[in-house]
Amino acid sequence: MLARRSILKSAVGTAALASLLQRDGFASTGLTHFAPKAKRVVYLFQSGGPSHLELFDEKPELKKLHGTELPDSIRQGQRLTGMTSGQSSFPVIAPKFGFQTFGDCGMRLSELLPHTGKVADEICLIRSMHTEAINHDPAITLIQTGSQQPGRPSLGAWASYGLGSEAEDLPAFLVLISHGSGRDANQGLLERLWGSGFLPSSHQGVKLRSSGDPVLYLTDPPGITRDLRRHMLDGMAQLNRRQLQTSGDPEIATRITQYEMAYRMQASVPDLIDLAKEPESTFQMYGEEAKKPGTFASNCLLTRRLLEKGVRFVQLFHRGWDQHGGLPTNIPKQCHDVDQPQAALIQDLKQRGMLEDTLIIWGGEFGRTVYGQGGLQADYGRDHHGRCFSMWMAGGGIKGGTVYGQTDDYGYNILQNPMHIHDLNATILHCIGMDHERLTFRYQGRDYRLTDIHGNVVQDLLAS
Amino acid sequence: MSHCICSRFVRPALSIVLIVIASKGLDAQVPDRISFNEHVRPILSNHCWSCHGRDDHGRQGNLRLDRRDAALLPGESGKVAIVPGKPDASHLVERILTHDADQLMPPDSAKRPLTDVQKQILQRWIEQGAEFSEHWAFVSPVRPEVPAVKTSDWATSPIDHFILHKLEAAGMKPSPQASPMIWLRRVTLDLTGLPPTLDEQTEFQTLLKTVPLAEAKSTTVDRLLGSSAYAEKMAMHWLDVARYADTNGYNNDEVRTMWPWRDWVIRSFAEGMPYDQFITEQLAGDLLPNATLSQKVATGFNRNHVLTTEGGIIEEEYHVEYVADRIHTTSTVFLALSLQCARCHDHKYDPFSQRDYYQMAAFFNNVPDRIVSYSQGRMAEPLLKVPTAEQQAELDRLNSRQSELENAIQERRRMADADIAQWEASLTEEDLQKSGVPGLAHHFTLDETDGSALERVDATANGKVNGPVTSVPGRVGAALKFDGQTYVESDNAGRFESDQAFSSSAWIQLTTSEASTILSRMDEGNAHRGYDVIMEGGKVAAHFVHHWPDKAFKVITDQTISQNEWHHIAVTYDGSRKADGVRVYVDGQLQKLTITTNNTLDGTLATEKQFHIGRRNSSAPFRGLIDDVQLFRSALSEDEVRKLASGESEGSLKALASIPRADRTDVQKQQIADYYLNFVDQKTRDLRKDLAEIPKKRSDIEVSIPVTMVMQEQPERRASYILRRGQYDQRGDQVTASIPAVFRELSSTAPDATNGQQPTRLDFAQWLTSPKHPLTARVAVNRWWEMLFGMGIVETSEDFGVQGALPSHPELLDWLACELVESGWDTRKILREIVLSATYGQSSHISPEQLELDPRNRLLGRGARYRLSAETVRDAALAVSGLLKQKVGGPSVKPYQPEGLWEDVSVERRDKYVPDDGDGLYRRSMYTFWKRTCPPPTMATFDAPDRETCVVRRARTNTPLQALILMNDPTYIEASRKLTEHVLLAEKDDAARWARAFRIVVAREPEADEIAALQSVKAAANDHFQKTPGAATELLKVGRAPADASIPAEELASWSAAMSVLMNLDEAISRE
Repeated sequence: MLARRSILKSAVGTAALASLLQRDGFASTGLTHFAPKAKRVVYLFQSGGPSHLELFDEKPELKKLHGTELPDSIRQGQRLTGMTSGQSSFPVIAPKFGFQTFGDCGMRLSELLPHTGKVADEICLIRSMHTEAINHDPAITLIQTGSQQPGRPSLGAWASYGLGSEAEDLPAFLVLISHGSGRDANQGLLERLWGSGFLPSSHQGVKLRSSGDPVLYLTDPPGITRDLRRHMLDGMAQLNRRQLQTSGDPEIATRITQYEMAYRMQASVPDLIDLAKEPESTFQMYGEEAKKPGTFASNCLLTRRLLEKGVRFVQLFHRGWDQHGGLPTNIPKQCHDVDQPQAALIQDLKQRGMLEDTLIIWGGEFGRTVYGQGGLQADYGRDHHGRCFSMWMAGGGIKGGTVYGQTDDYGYNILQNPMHIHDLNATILHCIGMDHERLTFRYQGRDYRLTDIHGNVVQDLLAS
Repeated sequence: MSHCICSRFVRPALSIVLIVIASKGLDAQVPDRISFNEHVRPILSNHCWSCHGRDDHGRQGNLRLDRRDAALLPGESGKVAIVPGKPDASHLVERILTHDADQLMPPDSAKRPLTDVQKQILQRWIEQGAEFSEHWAFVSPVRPEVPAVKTSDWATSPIDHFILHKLEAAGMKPSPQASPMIWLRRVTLDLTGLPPTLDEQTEFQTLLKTVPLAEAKSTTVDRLLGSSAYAEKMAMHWLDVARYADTNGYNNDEVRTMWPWRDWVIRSFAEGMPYDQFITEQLAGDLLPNATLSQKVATGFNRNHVLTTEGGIIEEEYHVEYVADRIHTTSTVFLALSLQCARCHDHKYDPFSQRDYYQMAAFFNNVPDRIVSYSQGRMAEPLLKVPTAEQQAELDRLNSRQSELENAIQERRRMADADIAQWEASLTEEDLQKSGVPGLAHHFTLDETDGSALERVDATANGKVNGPVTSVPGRVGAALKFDGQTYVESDNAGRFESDQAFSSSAWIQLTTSEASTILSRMDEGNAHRGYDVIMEGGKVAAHFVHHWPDKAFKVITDQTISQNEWHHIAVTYDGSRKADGVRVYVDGQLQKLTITTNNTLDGTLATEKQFHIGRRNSSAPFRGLIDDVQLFRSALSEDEVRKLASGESEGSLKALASIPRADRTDVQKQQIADYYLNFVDQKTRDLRKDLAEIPKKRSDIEVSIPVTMVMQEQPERRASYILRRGQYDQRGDQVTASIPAVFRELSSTAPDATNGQQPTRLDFAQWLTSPKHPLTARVAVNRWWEMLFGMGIVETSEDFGVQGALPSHPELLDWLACELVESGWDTRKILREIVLSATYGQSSHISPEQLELDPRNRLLGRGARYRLSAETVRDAALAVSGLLKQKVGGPSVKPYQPEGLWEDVSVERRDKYVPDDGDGLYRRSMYTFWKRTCPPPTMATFDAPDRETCVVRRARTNTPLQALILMNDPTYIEASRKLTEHVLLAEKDDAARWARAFRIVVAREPEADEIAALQSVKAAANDHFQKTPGAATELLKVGRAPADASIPAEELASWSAAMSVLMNLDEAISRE
């Protein structure tokens, strides 16, 4: 970037330089509005909508209510998806799994999440999340982009735009996908969930993949060695510099630095994903699954390594939570996928002194209905439920060992402290030092925000 | 529900202009003469109007600052905000200057304070009389005088006068002209998206030797504008704005077929269609008098939006979203206005009310938007079949062949009386015993035990049994057992039409009360098109469906039948398209029916799904036994059914024959004749056999005919409402179609409700293309200007509203707009004028002075230099390597793509990307299959938008991921090898080889040091490949195009490595 800086500096000053450079490369200056609590974000997204009733929101009354019809006073006639709106009866189904008390804080969590329970004191559990979307696409798009309809930048892109990048040879925003072992009937993911919308495309999430090239097109073609690549880049730089002299276009200087950054990535990324050097104790912590590329466990371990390298925003997607049927069979498998590694990630970051400035978020696009889809069945299912669901946060800026919000005895409506997705996103931005009302980007005459015209920072979640 | 934000809060934009002037004194930054549009409006709009603007709902203190008359009135406080000529008496001035934080405007909470310069501007504006003027973009352009300039020998076009005039005023000079070859590369890339070939370069150089430069350029531009590559390039830009894609987007993201529309766009540019017609056909081609197929296809423009097919979705909610997308796209693309901001409330800045929004929506909401399956994927109605010329010809041939055969059969019938009489006389008792019912079309006895299901009347309809074959003693001979897995399929049986009488009968023994299909020919995926006879809770039901449920009917018996006993079921239909035309018989008894769905069968029954016994196409399997299924090409009479049920059917011919010839009725004569012709007469049977093959042939073609989405008005106009907060279920006032009020005031050509008739999309299009329209022509020429200079005259090419950028050269914009209209909307004429201007021809070299005075080149004192678009980067590589396959149009193709990307994101990991073999790998990038949930990765990395919404202006970034693609994507490795092969074979000497490569890639001769640098890379590569056995061969295997075996592997590989360096140069991927 140096050549370009020197050319531009005299002409336009540093501030303008920053704005000119922002759209290029990985390096960019941040736009934080106040001192951030967290410098990095990890979003452990659980695609499909995990059931809050089985995992986070204990409802002892349901044992008694099992098989009874959901009262109209609870359902309140709100809209259902077309998958269950035709059902003639809505029998309440009690979760098959018990809850246990965890941590000094005494948090009640599912018996399916014993490892997560061990880090309960780091966690702020939110039981009063809500969304107005009732289908996957609009719901997941809303939670990731702040709008149910396509076209807006993703949370990670906003964070990249606002935070800039620390990593010299990695993108600011990386995406890792894993497929749940509960069942392969996954809902789709969409490129827009990590897209940059109308922000410059350099802010779009870059997928770190478990098969093929870890970053697309990272690997030199067969037959080309690092040495030869170096020769090629030197020759290229020489010719590009020559052209820069002739034409005076600062973009050429940028191009040269981008090729150098690419070259460094070619070395750093394989090194980063090579888990062979991790001691056995790491795998004891994250679990044996972490040795299998592409698993959630492996992605959690990679996340820690990415954070160490200065990546700002790591977005994981774990698929397979859309349990319209076979929930008791499948939810233990999904929990097994995520429980130990996510707890390990928190512990690992803590022991490295990184948890205090890393924000961790866990959750899906909505919860699930207390009534059974397809009636009362042993291997029951639950439909989508947006009126309440649970998420949790931990790390930088978050008050651990707390529970926020309360739902009714059916786990159907929120009784206390409703927290909308816009509130969640406002709070996330707050933790990383940004005022969600001031983090804007003008597009077609409008100053767009992640939180649209909504959102409040929920101070109760924040460590003082 | 999305809410538009129209935020009250804005981060102060980092404006270079402000920073440059920040070094000067305050007073020097405030213009002497204040222009409302240039200086005041941006301040009011950004800082004041969100609370004191045109939105009645959010207005504070009863103060409006968007209209002069209102701003001069006392506000809620009783004080007058603006007193013209008297800043000191103006309350506005007091409030922006006060040090009292409670009084200060804008308030701190708004987080958008005024700068000192802005405060000064407002004061000086009031001092000078506080004149308001209409926003420039809402006033029709008037052809301006071409300004006089001091430098007399520079301009080659009136365009240059406008540019030079401003440069001179700023004390700047234009740059020298770029060299002819740089100009040639620039104009070729700009107009065709491909670099000039060696031949084209030679041709241009030859031309330069014989004619003046201006003439050589002009000839070249004419050649380019006449090429199909030009049409493709123009279409390529249009695909972004029209959010074209090959899948539906959203969760399920199935395949759709919109490429016939894409090909229409290419064709329209190739034909030089006037821009007004280009707009009209896309918005309302279907409403033009005697609309052609092509004009209907054009309306696919408004159907390119995303479509959801997610289970459980609420249809009305998404219908509202689709209409919203049409408004967004139409207003952005043609008007460069953000009308979508008025969906939830009145627009905060531009003069559009929420009512305006929904009145405009009423033009575009009158389509069903109903999801249906078709052969390859799913789309929403209305759909249109678009046969190719070859397909149409083949269909025509089959139709005429069918008529021929039908005539021949008729002819045979007329001539057959003698033969019939002779045959009848020859009939033996045994013959009569064996004969079936007249009118019998198909007869499956289900007696086979080997998995076949022979059809006794027509061998072309023979079927087979799928699933377990269990033959058991039946009602007549053997019967087939159905256990939920077993079913019989036949291609050709049961092809009946809505207007045809037909009947079916079968013996069944039922073992369940679940829905069990006796027989069907039905496509559940296509709104259940077809028919069935199905047992539902022990009752006999029959569906006749063109489109369920609105073009369909269903009847069901009131009585149930017993299980585990044989029953004879018969259903007759008279071809009347009505439920009344159906009779159902159980064991020969006419049944009382309930009609549960009673619509007209308005449309075909035909489906390419097979005829089935024992299930629908994929659902409702039969459980029990079925025997002796018969289909008839007539509505059987009650008597005939009774005979079938009582086992007397074999006697029918016998019964007829027993009637003395003279006593027979016409119907009876007919029946005898039909029997003879259908079952005995070899001539007729041969003709019928040929005839029977035609539907299959026709359907083979029809299946392959592309089906595409179009606009087509519903007969009953859908009611339109203002939706409160934009919510689909919050209906307010009903509205009728109309253009926004601000344009009705400004224009006399506005479509409006006359004679109680609502205006149509065609009226809308005619208004949009009226010569005096303030926006249409300006928006178009601005977009072309952006295409040719990298930035529009109005930088925000998607927003000409008050929050958008002001034009850098307003008069030039108007001049071009007037030229466009007066030329008869001749796109090519405008492009030609621009690319032949001296402004366009300037060198793009940037001097330090230029960089300081005009870093963003807004005054155009130099040529533009920027990276090629995503598509062009790849197309250029394919072109220079000789791999490019130049075929125009057709279905989208699948070039190389890393494995697993579709599986990563698709529902149930079910979609898999399989690259094409052959030409599909090397077509222009605009033809690459565009899957919305997973767009082609290299396109997105080079800033192509995701095509989920309309995007007019792409970002232009410079990232390491781009470098990785150009270094390592097989596309580019293969291209560098193929280019290498070409230069190695074409030239002997290394210097000549490099010279040739440079000419091909960057259209210039190399300098000695450039050759030396590349030779050095090549030497290093050669060293490596010589030392490492097999490495060269490995490299040469990349890409499917075979390596030229005549060149030693090490030589080819080392040259290729160096060639890749040349192709990766910034110059190679930039237009200069």
